[in-house]
Amino acid sequence: MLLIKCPWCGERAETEFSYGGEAGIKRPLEPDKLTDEEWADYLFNRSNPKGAHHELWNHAGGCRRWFEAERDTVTYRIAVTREL
Amino acid sequence: MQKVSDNMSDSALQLQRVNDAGFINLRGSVDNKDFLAAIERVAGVALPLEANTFHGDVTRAYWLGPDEWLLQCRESDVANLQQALDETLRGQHTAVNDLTGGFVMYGLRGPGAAELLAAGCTLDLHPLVFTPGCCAQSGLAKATVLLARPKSTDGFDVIVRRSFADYLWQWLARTGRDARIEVT
Repeated sequence: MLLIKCPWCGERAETEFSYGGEAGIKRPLEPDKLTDEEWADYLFNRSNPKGAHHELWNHAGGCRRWFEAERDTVTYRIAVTREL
Repeated sequence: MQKVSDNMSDSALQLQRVNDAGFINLRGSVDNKDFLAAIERVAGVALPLEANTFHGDVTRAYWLGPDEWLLQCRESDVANLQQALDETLRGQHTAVNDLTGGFVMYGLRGPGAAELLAAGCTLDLHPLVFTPGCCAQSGLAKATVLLARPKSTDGFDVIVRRSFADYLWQWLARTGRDARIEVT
């Protein structure tokens, strides 16, 4: 079992958390002006790296806050978690 | 529920439902000093700012998150307390919600309490780690619960959503059978 450090509650078992996808994706300010390709890129295309990955996690079984984590997709090691 | 042991002093574990507990959920900013002072004045208990702790004994304030607390008081006091909080906090960016109907509280007493909970919980409940005055929202046997170790008695309080209450009661009673749990 992984221990994930919630920035608010401290280290908890991974079963208390839910994954929220890649972090740092900004919604375009003017969606009407985007081409279909640009909109699809915003909606669907993710970086999917082999290695360090910025992710959103939710402490669903605890304080229910979203936070950001930097996880290595190869080793599963979570280098850092921080408040949003 | 069937009594497993007839002699109360025989058992290292007792489970009972706490019947007169009422709950109010509080949201507000810790940067708002007026909010913090108002709660302490009206509820008689200061909001804990340290994570995973609670203040108070009969009336308690549990830390739930960086801007969220659970106030516990006698069920008969809930309406008055909520009204007083509403009036005091009027106009401020806060939320006061009576959740009494949504939660059930169990008291698990005795030296075997931590061991029983550990069968279904990933927290470290050792008395040197989870000290009196600590609380935590976590999972217990797949139910989401708020666990607290009271300062005044030996054991734990378990606050659980009403829809999980019967399930959790049965889980606690069955899991405690080996420790000859006393269910009242």
